[in-house]
Amino acid sequence: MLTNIDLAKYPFTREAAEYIESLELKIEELALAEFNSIINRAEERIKEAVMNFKISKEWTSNDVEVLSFPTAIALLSKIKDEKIKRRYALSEAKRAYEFLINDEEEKIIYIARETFKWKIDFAEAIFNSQLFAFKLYFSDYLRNAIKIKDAKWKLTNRILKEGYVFITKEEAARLLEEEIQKKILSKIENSKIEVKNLEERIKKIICYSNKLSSTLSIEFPKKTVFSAFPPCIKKIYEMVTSGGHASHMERFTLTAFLLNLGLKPEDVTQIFKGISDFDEEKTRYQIEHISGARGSGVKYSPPKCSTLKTYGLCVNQDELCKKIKHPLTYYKKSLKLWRKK
Amino acid sequence: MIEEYIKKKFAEYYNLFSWRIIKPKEIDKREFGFLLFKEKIMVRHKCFSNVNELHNFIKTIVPSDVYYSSAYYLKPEEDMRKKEWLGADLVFDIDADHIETLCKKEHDKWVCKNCGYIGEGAPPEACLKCGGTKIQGETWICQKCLDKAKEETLKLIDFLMRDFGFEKEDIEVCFTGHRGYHIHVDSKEALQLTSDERKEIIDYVMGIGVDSIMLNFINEQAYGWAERIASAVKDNKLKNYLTLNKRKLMRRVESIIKEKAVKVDAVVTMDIHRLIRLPETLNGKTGLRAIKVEINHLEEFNPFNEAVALKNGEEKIYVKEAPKFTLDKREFGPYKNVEVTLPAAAALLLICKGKAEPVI
Repeated sequence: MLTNIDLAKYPFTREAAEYIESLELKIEELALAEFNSIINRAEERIKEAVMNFKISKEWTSNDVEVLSFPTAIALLSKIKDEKIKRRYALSEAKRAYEFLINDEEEKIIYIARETFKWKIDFAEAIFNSQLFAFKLYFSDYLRNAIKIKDAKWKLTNRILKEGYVFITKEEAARLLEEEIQKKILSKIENSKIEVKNLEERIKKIICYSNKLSSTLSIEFPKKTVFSAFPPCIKKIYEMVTSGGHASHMERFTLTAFLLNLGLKPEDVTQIFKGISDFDEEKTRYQIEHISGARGSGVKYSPPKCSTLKTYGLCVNQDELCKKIKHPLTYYKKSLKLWRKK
Repeated sequence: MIEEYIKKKFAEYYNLFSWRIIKPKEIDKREFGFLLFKEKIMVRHKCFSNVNELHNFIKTIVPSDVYYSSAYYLKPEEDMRKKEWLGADLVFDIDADHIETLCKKEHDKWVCKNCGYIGEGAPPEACLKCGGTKIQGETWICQKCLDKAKEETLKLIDFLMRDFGFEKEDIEVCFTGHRGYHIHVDSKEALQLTSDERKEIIDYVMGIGVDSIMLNFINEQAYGWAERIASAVKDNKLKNYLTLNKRKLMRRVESIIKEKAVKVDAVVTMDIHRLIRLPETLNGKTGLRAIKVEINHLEEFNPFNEAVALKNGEEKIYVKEAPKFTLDKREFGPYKNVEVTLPAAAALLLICKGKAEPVI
């Protein structure tokens, strides 16, 4: 079903992996001069991803193009920086997306089914004068759509019938992009290939990656800046400190938020002192639990915006709220603005 | 003494009827939890390799409530972080506690632990008199509340079948023995859904986040929410809707959504490690059976007849206060500070709800 050109376009597919296997090439041998073109292209793929966020779509040899993909993955698996791996996976996925939107519908279905085991079929339905070429089983849809932030992807805003979500061709490609990105990341994480004699190449890649991480993310300041809190957290905070009542979910959200800002469990316990049914012993126990000092050892994050919405805790939305998905991101961004002032 | 009495009755039931508890799918991969009468603590992380072991355990310890995990684990007996989660059934909880019903004013009340003020209906966040927040609610199970919960259950089943494509055979409905229903979906595809993905399903059935995008479809022969909204338009509820401006239209649509949406407890569905009441065990709050209800039978199902656990015997009890109620086709009450002799099930219900005490 897939031609050699297709394998070069979609090197993450099951067929591409089988093809590579059939060549019985060992990545260990890649350092040999005769395979230089493969290594060069692999390095170029990574460089393009890091520098331009885009991997070029032209090539001269199908084989070099296909083989450079697992080689790039083997190289990346030797690098500690998670950021560069994520960026690479995303760029590869975007490259595939651009091929997919221009490819035949049969091919999209084939790749979705064979490589990703999707339950997908042709639909050919027209709603609102838009062609919905496919229908996709809701669990396959959800797994990928929840990663995309835009109201149109929310299941509530979809045509859902007998378990299947109607999607356009462009949407199928976009959902596949998510799936491809995930697959590539896991390939990098699980790669067990020993890369010998390629230390120089790896050093070069680390150089790119250093450039990438020079844009350091800001640290939370030692002092908590209340005016930078998102509106939802502000509301709970005010309720709690003014001696009001707070539900379990509200308490959890506030606690996890404050702990993530770097407050100590003792400080958070003090904040809850004002609450009407305050029980110091119980409160401390629960806060330590959320901090990861007790129980499962997991340090909890506050729920993300969409979850807060489900619980009815998303209130007084402002402009910044529209741009973020998580209350901690709100805090980070609003701190930046606050500092400028 | 009250606990001892209830426990004796529960022991009687489990000795006769523990066989009714059928084996949950893959019993050896489930965690079980038991709430104990006296100690009021939950015995968790229990595991059984077959259903007979489970029956014997229940008969021996006689718990007030029995729960099992909607999740499957490789090691269900280990503590949470070592359990190794394998997947979880998709479950929904519909409870009259989360639904606004007018009858709550008639049979529910609350007491402020601070000033002693007694109010009617669902408990407020703070006492209306003194502003205190230590409030104890007292609820009652009434036909109207249960009918409303059933109506929501039927709405959910419609969503699960028409929109999500589940078969009737995949859906199990269970009366909880108190004020609601649990809906379990047995589907291979649902097992691996993450908490976030389950949240999307919840948002869907609750109509949360419907965007104006959806309005583009209501003129079409569509499905899902578009179809629900469109059929309401046809019912003339949105007469001349095309002439309305977008904001007004959205407001009207929101009221349609509110009416068509299902009121479920979102937390239960999203929690993929949840312990949920085991069907055919007794509910410690009422002494009624948690009982599986065939979907075809749901419309005429009446828990006050069919969930009665013990049909024989009578008990002399002292009733502090209880509204009028029907159980096992007989009418009782209202009572206030009286000694009465009632059928065992009615006596047990009042005692479990804290409305009466046994007289010896």
